[in-house]
Amino acid sequence: MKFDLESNTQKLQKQKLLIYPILAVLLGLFQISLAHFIEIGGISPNVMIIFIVWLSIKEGQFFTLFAAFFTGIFYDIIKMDLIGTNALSLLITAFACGFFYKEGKSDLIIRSFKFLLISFIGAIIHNFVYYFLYIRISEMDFWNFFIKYGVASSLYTCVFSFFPILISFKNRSFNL
Amino acid sequence: MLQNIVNFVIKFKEYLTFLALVILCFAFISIGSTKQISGFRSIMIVATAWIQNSLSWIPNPAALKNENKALRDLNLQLSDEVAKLRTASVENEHLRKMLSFMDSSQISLVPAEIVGRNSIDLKSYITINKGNTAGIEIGMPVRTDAGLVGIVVGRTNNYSLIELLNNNTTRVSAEIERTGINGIFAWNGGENFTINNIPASFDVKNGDIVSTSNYSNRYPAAIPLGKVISVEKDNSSIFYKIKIKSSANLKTIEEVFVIKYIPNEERKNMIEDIERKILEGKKER
Repeated sequence: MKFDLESNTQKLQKQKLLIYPILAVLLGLFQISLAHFIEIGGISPNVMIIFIVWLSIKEGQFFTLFAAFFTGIFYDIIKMDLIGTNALSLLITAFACGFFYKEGKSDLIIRSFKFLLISFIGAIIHNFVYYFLYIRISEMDFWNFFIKYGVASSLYTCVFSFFPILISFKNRSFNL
Repeated sequence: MLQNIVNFVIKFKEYLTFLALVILCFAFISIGSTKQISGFRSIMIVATAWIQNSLSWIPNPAALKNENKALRDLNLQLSDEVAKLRTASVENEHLRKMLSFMDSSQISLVPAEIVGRNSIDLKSYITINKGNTAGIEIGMPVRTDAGLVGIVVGRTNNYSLIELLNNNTTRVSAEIERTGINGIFAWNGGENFTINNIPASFDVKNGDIVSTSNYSNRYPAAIPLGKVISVEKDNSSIFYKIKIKSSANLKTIEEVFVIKYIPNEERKNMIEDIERKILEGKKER
């Protein structure tokens, strides 16, 4: 019985290691090829941030640090960005959001409005780091730029983080 | 002792991992080169172009409305200019004959359709349906009938990725056509562009046309960039604050022309060599 439980846990871990990268790739493709359909004033939600925030609540800080790093590198490659910029900003987001992780209570957090708040904090941290690196090579004023685009983009991302909440509610009703 | 180290690592594994990965990110950022992953990026260009191409039937009413308005304005301007050009053309031909001028060589253009548009974290790109097989190469400038749009940053056999002007890396050597004053054309992070490094004592007016200058190694000269919409004197600086409205409407473009113009390698290498030497000199100090 014990053996079965252990093998099931291992199986689940293996499945996660397969599903999460696939999810990251799909979300990355969505972000670069379809996100412009929902763009408002040049600003679109960043689903990669939502993914990392969700992962940090679901799996904890340690696991998400690696996930954020590799997702960021992948995103840098497909976005034609300077390699390391998205990886760094997603990594810091994962580190910060990891502090909200509570073992055994991940579903409760994701189903609550707390998740929206964590997503907003995550998006603000991400945009702060990313735009700092983005502005570095230009002559734009960082604070003007951050308030204009960073905060707006964080709010839009926060609105979009309703989807994981809805999905988790739907999953719960199926489980019942 | 060893047990203590192991305990320390286990206790602070999150912080140590975070630190290690942050260092790795900075290492990647400082390397900056992306030549090694160009193959993978090509695959991604094809994948995104395929997705965008298959979804191109989805209409975008806001973009169509903007485009219609822009086309009506352009049509009005063009019909006015055509009348002027007819007269000028006859006069020009006559003068050329008189002076035995050779027709200046035309740079060839490759027309292309936009099949995808990416606007990610304020980095704007478009994907076009022409690539390697049409003779397109990385570094070629892209324009519309109205003016400069961007530059080719990636290409596969049948697609190319264009980095648009509204990007933080945009730096175009520009010239104010009326007076020949030179400056640096850059994006100001909003709807408009700026032109920097023009002293406040120089003659710049609203409505002045700005185009690429001869000093540019990336773009051929005299491609329209935009029109001056505001000139402000900043008391804290010796330079003007000049706002430019882009000639090409970057949000509504549907078709573009790739200019088969490759920057002079020798000139480019020389500039890069000097820049590297300056940077190395700064580091040594």
